[in-house]
Amino acid sequence: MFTIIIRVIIILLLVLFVIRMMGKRQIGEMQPIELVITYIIAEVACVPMSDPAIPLFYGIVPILTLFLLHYLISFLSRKSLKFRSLIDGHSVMVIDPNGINYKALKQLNMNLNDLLEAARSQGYFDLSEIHYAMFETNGKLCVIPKAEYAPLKPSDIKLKPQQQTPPVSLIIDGKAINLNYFKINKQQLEKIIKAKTNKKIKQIAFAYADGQGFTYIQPKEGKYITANIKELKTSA
Amino acid sequence: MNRGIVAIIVFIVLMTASVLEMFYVEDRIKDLDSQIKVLYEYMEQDKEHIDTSLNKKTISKIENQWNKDKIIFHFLFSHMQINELSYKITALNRHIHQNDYNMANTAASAIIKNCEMILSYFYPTLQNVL
Repeated sequence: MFTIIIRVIIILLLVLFVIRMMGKRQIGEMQPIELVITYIIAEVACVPMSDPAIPLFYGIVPILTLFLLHYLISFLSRKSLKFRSLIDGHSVMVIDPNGINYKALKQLNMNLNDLLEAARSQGYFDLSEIHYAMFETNGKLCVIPKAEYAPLKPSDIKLKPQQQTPPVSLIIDGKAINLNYFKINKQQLEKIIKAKTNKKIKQIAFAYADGQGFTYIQPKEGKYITANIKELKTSA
Repeated sequence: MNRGIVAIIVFIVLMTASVLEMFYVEDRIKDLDSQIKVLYEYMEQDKEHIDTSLNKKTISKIENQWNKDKIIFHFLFSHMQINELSYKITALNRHIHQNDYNMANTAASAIIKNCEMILSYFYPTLQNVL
């Protein structure tokens, strides 16, 4: 049993390493080749994991070989458009201003229900709202709505909203992080948190702040509080 | 770390390991095979007395060497296959000490056959790949 436990740990670490090396897309939207490689890796990893009669190398070597093949295919796809098209396929327009392109749908081996389902998942229940729609190589439907149904943007009504910056975590699970980003030290943060929530940092589940200083503080118990870290910092 | 560098390192490691493995396995299995064949010849010379000190010394040497080699072989081949070969080498040693020619003959033939089988399945020939 101990052998199997060690084998599982080794294979898990190796698969994790290989999936990380393959890039983020491996986790979410996958191209056909990535899907195939991920499935095969999952399969070959299982065999030596559960069968101690099979050498561990029978799992390790195929996984590393698949990683190499994936890298080689990605490299060739970057270099050659023809190769990329051969491996990944290409996007297919299924709705155009004339309506549904039934021939294209047939070419994708999809039926109308698949198209309607994909459109609904994009928030379009009425196909007449769609100007163009195409199936991407990863199977996702991309939609360009008709101008009258497109979501309103601030620029459409000549508004100039303030540019937002990504929020940065301040406290996670009672631990202060990224203090240098906000140019404060732990004592200052402790004071700010105490003043605003009457709690200590370790009693805070999660807190983040954005570039404008907007701060969201969620204690481990109780309701969340919003504040402005820049203002609090000056007062602290 | 850069993925390209990792891929190159993995490629070099895999290729080097494959080449070294090929040389190592071929060398060790052929060595075992030839030593068993020599022992076989000794036994054939005097079927009534196979428990000679030369035979005992030879089989002990073979067994000791195999005990070292099998650690690496367990990484490369099915554990059952290697355990079977280990069992047959131990059995041959026992039969020589017991002066049992028939059983020793059977064990030695089985070891030679096993060596042939390991090598025949090991090379990346077309029939093995397919």
